[in-house]
Amino acid sequence: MVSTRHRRSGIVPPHILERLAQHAPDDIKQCVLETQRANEALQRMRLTAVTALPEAADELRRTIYDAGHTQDLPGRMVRREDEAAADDREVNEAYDDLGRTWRFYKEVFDRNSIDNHGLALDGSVHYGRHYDNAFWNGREMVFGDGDGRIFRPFTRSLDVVAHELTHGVTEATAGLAYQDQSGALNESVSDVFGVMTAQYAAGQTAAEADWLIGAELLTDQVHGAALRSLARPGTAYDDPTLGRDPQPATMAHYVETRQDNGGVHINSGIPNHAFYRAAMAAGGYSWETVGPVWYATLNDHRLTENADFAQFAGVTLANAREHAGRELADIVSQAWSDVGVTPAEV
Amino acid sequence: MAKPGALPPDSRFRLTREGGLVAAPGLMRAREFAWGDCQPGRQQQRLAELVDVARERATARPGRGDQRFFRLELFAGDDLTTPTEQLTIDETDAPPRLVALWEHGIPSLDG
Ligand SMILES: [Zn+2]
Repeated sequence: MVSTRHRRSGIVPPHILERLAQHAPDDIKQCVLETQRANEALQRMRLTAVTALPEAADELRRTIYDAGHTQDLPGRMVRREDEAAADDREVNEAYDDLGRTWRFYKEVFDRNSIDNHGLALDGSVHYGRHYDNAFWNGREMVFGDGDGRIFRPFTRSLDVVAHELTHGVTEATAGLAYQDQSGALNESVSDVFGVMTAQYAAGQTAAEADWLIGAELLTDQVHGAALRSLARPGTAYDDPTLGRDPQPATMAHYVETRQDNGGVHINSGIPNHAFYRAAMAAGGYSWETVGPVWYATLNDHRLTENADFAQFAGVTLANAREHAGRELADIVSQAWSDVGVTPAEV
Repeated sequence: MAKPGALPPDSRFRLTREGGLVAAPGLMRAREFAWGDCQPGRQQQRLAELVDVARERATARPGRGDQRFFRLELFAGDDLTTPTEQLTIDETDAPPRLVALWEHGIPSLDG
């Protein structure tokens, strides 16, 4: 059910080059022949490259590095695929949870790693000093140890590890721009696939799941349950140091702000909640019901890099209609309506 | 965009750290100060230098994939609603002095 994006090799299709080579004036013929030769050489290079790349293998390949409390990446290599567990909790958590996330994408969506071509998974732990963050830098996933007062090490939550890996998946597919509504969709996709990975690993139905992001990161000192809640956006924490969870659940409370790239981690509450509502209404396992609809949307060429909520909703609805049937389409439609988003025609 | 080194004496500044996976409002910790709060001499000179470095390292699209970034906003006079200039710098590109200014305020300019 999933459409994939195709990259063409060369701008002029080979059959047009062939026709030009036969019928064009001599000087153009010469150009065309050179282009054809260049294309063929390029093709051979690509084939060699693909054969030579171990990434082409359909297998999990993880490497975990220790940044040694510096901000130098990737750091010292400490555990590779199939190596025994390290004497370091964060190293092993990153290793295990990158594996769980890889398996989720492989087993549920038949996606071969971040780029669907078996990209090796690199992660660095012990990044920075008292570092309260985890991120994807375009090449690898990076995890801080937390400050110990508010935050525990950022490898504690599977949904956080999956959130970061999914930033790589989004870059490799829809490429949603990290600003305003498309940025909030980028963030939401990471939260949605983050919680789905955790639900899949725990074998939980939508009704059984807690729908929280980063619940395991907060220390007992914090007044709060998690970083975000897809079930009840805006209720994850209310704490003297962190402030209050600013996420809206519906368009009526959309936050206009310059900060955080237009509130990408704030307004993501709206599409997050739409996914939650659809998954709850559908019942059963989220990755079997609305999960595939969201995944198809991420891979759908009708979704543009600067998509707004309405366009994203329109593409989810189109995919639900085209692949999942009337009943699920109605559920998806109702979920968007509940959060105040009117799906665009796509 | 203002000329390098040009900081009018009525300049005011707001410095925040934004983005990141957590992105909680309490972690932005906005720091506001005026050119006049800095002592003439070393503090003002270092602030001017810091603004120049920030201009060099600023990126229009910071924060991708939960990377944290700093935002330095410059204001003219008492109007703190519309900045005359704003610079966003990825945390990985931020000069240590900018991080120190955000963490410790004006005294860090002496260090
Ligand atoms: Zn994120």
